[in-house]
Amino acid sequence: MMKSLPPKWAARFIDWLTEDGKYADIAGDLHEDFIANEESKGIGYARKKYVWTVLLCLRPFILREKFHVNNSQPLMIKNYWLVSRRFLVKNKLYAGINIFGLAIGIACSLVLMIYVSNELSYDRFHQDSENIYRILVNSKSQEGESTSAIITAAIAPTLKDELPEIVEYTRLSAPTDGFLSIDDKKLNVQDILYADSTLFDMFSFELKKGDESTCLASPYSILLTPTLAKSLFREADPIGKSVSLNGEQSLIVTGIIKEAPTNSQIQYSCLISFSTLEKEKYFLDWNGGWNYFAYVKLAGQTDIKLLQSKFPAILDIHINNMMKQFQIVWSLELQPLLDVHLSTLEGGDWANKGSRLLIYVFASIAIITLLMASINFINLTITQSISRLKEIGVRKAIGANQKMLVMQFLFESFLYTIIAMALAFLIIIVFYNPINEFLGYHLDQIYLSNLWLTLIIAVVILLVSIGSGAYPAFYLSSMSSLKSLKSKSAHGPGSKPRRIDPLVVFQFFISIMLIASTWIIYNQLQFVQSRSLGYAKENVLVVRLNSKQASKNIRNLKNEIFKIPEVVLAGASSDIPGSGFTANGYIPEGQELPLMLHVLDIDDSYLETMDMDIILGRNFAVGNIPDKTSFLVNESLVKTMGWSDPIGKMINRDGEHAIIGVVRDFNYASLHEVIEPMVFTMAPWQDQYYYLSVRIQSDDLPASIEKIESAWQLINATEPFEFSFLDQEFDMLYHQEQQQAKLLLIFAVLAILIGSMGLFGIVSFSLKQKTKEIGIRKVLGASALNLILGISKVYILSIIVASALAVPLSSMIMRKWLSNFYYRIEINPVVFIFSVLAALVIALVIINIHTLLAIRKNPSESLKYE
Amino acid sequence: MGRASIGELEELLLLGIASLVPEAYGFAIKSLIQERANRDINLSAVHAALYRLEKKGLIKSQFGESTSKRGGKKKKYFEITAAGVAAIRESREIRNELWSGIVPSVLNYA
Repeated sequence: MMKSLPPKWAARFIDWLTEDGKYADIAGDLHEDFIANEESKGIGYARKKYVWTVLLCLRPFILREKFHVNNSQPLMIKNYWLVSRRFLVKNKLYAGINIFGLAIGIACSLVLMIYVSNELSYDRFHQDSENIYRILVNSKSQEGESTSAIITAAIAPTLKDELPEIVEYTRLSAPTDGFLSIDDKKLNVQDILYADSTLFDMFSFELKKGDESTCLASPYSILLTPTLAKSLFREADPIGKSVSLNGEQSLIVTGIIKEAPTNSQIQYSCLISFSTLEKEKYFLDWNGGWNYFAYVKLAGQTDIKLLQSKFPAILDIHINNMMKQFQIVWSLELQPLLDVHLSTLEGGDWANKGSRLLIYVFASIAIITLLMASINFINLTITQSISRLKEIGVRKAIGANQKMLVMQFLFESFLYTIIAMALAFLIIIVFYNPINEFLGYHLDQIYLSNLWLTLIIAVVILLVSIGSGAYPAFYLSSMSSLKSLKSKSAHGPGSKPRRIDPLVVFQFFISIMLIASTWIIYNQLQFVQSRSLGYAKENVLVVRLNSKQASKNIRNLKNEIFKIPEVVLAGASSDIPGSGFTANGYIPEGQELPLMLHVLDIDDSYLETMDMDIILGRNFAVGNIPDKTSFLVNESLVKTMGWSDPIGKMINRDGEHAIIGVVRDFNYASLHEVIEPMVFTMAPWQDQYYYLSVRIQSDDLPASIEKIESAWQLINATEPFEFSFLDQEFDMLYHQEQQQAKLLLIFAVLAILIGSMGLFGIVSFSLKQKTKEIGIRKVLGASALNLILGISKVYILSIIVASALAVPLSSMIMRKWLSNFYYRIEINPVVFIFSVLAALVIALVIINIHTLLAIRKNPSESLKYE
Repeated sequence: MGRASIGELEELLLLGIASLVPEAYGFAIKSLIQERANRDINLSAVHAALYRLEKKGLIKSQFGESTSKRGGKKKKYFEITAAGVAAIRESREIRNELWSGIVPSVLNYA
């Protein structure tokens, strides 16, 4: 039998711990125990047991032996404790500022670290998550290329059939909204997904009721989440019952599936078997029905590169030979499941996406905050410890050796750091809900017990306490007792407040950058919200038409709604401006190859409802049969084609379409994107409009909405009324930016707060050192202004240095950020001037509160000091 | 101060040492007790208790040879001292007295 050894690090550790001492037999016993365990219960158990036992060996009696701790130590620790406490009480203000500042810094960075670690944990809960990949389709044409995660349905099954490396595949439809009903109960539901029966082989979602292998097998099966099941069926057992989707499909409940964890890219409220789509005759071939996500699981140790090199041959047969005539080439890519959450794709993707940039920003903010707070803490502690030279001298004179002094100072700084850490946790716990609300994110409290975080915290405590304790501990205590007894603290080493302090510069640098950046982001957001979009987004109520029936009833609904006096106008469309419109290939007159054009299907009153202008030609007219095949186009298309007289020009897609009018350009997507060429038709795909936009003029909004709802009930009794406001949807487009702005604002305030506290501490300390100097200057006739200038000079200089660094850097970063928007503001230099001024004012206020107090003291008093 | 009182594990250890002498070292003692008492004891707990007993003066120890089975580490042999013998004797007497006080019929319950 091969001789196996216990884990090396643990063996080395126990050797180090017990070597050559009284307890030198322990390591050997452990080794024997390991061998015995391996024989009886296997290597895995033996190793685990060994490590555990080694950890259990960290007992006081062993540690005491190792570190030669003698029995007088507890007494000394008692004394350190006493002295630390006295010092804390005597210097309440400094110590308070010091500890509180560190606590805020730790709390802030902890919150961000929790956020970051949650973002990084996405989808890791799936078993074998590193073997799961998502299929991406890249299509290259003359106009460029695009990669999409939302692909056609036939790709994944074909790949599995032809490539043995692919063990399993699962397809999911892009989430849709709809309504479920039983009898007369109706419920609007978001995130309805169709899923292949292999879902549970691929993903570790938890099925609470039902059979994993069969519940999604037969057509018209549906799995409900517990919440949904409860609101549909109350306490009754839903299994085997039937529900109807959008009043059209009748589905049988075959299971209850637990909600997906929040850190899952896939989110659902119910899952319907994929085979239902086949029965319903959806487009499920290679080139039609771009509506599905496809995941594959690979056999362990598959060479991805080799596997991907086999794709082109398969693609040639199934699609590319056919697409040659359009000069379009497809290629496939496998994207690791774990990369999905933080990747960005131009094409559609799950809504629940993170941003890698944001993670970097958050992580660096976390580190900077922690750094600022720690440096501040260290700096303040060092400055204060100088005033304790005498104490050191006395201690030495009565027999303390250097080791004891080192112990004392390290003990103290350790104590303060621990207090700060405890305070930080208290802050997080107290402000847990507001923090969540503010971030618009759910921080899981569980992450507070995360092993990594614990480790980071321990390291921070250690570094900060050693950093702040090292100077007094090693440098001051090494001075001869004579020297330290003689030295006046005011002239002690390191107390030269006249130099420019790099720490102060750093803090102003950060503060100025943050003030300026936050300002610019707010300006841009304001610009985005106030910019004229080419249509009026205010007072537009958008009603969702989920079913074909509702879309068919539209004329009746409009008639009914027009009876309400508050309703100005209403019009139907296939999409609403904001999220962007679908694009198809069209061949305009004078063009050989298809051009990707955005398309919006509207009815005759839509443009007018939205205040979109027709600048040339005419609108669609009801009852005009040729208009069903006519197109309207936007200005951008006319410009792209270079047409001088667009009316009457033809566009080809499944037949010729004549242009009857030109619409003024409007922003149909967010202002991140430029306005591209688009067409309008009055013939929606599958004859279905999805939205009815209603412009209302009302002083009592809820009442008007109620009236519209009763009109809806009259026409569409079986379908629930679902509405939103266009301007609210519009605000959602900038949700991420708003969140960033909020976060930066908070961080700016925190940075200024921490910086101010640091400054406050440093200034008040240096003033204390200068008590005598100020007294003498006053006696000699210096004015208050003179004194203030003399003291603040150095800080003003620091701010100038900091601005010189911060202004160019932040303007560079903000330019980069603004380049995400196609429509954006120019950076106004005033922003920087005011940011610097703000920092200056804050600094001067802090300095002068103190200075004024110090210089108003009677010189006779200050001269007596010390 | 009276005689040091001993706990259950300590008593078992003392008995184990006494029955293993002169081959009583940490792992051997642990194995014996684990086997006889049929329960899982962590080696570290055994060490802690052994050194506690040594401090109380109930056992004494000396280093012995090292073997390859131990990764080349020394053994430490434990021996029971007179005080140790007195301690297990006393605890046995206490038990005996208590046993003899039990009415036989009580023991028929199983």
